[in-house]
Amino acid sequence: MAENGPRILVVDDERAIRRFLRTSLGVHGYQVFEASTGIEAQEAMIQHRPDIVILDIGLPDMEGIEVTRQLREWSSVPIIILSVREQEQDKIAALDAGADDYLTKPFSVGELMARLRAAQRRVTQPAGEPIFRHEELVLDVAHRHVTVSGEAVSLTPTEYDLLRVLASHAGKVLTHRQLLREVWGVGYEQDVHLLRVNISNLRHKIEPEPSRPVYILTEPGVGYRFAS
Amino acid sequence: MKAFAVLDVLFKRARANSWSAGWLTYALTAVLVGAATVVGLPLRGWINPTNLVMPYLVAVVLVAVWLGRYPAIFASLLSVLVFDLVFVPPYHMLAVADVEYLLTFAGLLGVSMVISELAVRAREQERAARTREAQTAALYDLSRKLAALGELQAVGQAAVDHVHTALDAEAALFTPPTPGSPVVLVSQTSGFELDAESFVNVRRVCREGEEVGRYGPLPEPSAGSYLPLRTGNDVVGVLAVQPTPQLRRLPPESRRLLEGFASQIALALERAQLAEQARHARLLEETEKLQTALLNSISHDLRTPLASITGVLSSLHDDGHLLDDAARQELTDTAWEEARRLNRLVGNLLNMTRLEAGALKVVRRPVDIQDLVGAALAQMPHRLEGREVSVQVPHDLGPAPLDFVLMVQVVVNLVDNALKYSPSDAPLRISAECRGNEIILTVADRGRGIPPTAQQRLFDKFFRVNEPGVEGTGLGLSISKGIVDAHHGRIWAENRPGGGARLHVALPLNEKVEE
Repeated sequence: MAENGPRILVVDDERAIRRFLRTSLGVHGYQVFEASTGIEAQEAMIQHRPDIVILDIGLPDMEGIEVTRQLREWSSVPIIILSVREQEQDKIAALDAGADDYLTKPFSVGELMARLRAAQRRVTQPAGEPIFRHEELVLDVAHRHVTVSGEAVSLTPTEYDLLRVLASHAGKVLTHRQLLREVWGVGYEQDVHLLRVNISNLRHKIEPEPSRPVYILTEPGVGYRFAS
Repeated sequence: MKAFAVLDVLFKRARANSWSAGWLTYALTAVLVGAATVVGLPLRGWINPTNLVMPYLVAVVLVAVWLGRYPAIFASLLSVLVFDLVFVPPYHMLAVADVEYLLTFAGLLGVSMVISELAVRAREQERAARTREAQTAALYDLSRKLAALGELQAVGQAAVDHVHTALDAEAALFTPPTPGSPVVLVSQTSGFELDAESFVNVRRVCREGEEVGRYGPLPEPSAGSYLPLRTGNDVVGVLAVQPTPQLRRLPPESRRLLEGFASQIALALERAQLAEQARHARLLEETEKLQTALLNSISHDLRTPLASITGVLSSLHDDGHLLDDAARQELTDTAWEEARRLNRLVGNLLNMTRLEAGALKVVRRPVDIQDLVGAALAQMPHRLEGREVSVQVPHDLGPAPLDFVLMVQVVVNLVDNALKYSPSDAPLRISAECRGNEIILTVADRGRGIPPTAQQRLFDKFFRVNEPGVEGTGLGLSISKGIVDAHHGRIWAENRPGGGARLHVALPLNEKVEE
């Protein structure tokens, strides 16, 4: 285990998961710390000051969403949720409570590494970067200007806001609720159809093939993610 | 006073048969008028006959109060006639000597008519008030009784019993047990005569919503009356009423009371049916919830080991070049253990399914208990490492008729449970003894014991005592219970004096052995 690699706290009550993550993350240069309950997680947070937290949603003493909420009161450390498919609602609740990303069990180490890198990048990224680029898409925030393959794209104000919010959280899952609140404001959190319609329009304008998007990716049942 | 009492009884009987007709009534009327005559007779000739009218007025009032309107009119007319014959000269003749007596006759007749009418009215009002009061009391009594009951059967029984005591009639109640189903007999009084005709009538009432019987068309009047029990436009049941043989027919004043009963019973029936529906819906909902919980629990338990195995394999596959020997060993060990765990879980689930499907066949052969315990412990050498396990099986303990393979599974599950719920250095004790016709097998640990809240559900499917660091599916003990039940034995748990838990299995010794 690298002495000065990024510090990761793995919170899971399954010993086997902790054990394999310790080995697999260790070879990638991460320093791995472990906790098996919500209480232990909070103690470990203070003691080890991790750079990233991997949090299982079903802990014996408290729900992962509760752990997320309590951590978010004083820490902005990236939190990646681990869940099994049946915990869909809990997963969304944890994301709404401030978690950054999620992985559904079973997952491959490759997927996990990608999520970890994306989370780290967001932390190190300077805030308020004026220009986002991804493949052929360029979003110039200062001039409210969007181009795909060098050609200017005309967006409605709502579509532009939506794209800006998604791009500024590139790699991170944003739940329906979070997007609606960011773009439309408080009180629109339940109007998922608004979001669907605007995402569809936006995709037709920026995606080369709207049915197989490369920029705005759908997270089924949860929300959307801007590719990173 | 005694004569008066006798008279009262006579009056009552005269009224009871039929208070507007009957020869007894008129005979009694004649007797009273005669008595008035006898009272006046000694005074005849001494005082003015006009004054002798008074006893007749008294007689008329008595007749009016006791016997009713028509006997009173009869008494008035008879009094005038007898007064004329007995007290007005010339005696014993209808002829009247003095014309002024015609005025007396007219006065006597008029006054007695008016008095009798007033007395009759007063009596009728009193009777009506009494009846109303009795009916109100009976209705109140019924509604109070019915309000306390929620179950259909109880409501039905209370209703027919009440009709029986209040109306002195036999009764039966018919209702569909759930809305839309055919009408069935819910309850009846012991004297109710039920025949094929009854059901024909009940169905007719349900179909037409109209009463059939004494107050409506019915081929045989004595067969009673069938009232629809209505709430709104729906017929929720049928109340059948049969007069007792002594009564022959229901008195008309019971009519309104019966209708009152019918509407009270209808409301109670509807309430009972709604409560039944609600109960049913709640049960369905709970069953559904439980099934979802079970499904979630199983899929969670299946996926968790899979997650570790998949993760390990992906790590070996993608990062093979990064792993040193120690890391590789650690990863394969993890996957290996999880695969075994998955296998145990699948085995448990299959066993559970077999048990529940009744597909488990117990093959009894004489089994040496020492051998059984040894075989079980031999299946879990890794788990027992570093544990102090004492086995105490008496040498003189004879063989027991058991299914060896299944019972090994039970012992493994009990020991596994004890290992999981006690510290890794706590000693374990397995013992057996013969008690009466049973062999008692006990596995005792020095763990934290059984929490009081878990005692009831310890052997339930998927139930687990939540303790940090303890993994499991909550199937082991319920499978053990299934196997022990199949052996006609018993399994139970208790806390051990001095700390820890004790699980006992009692198996009958007198079961037949398979040849």
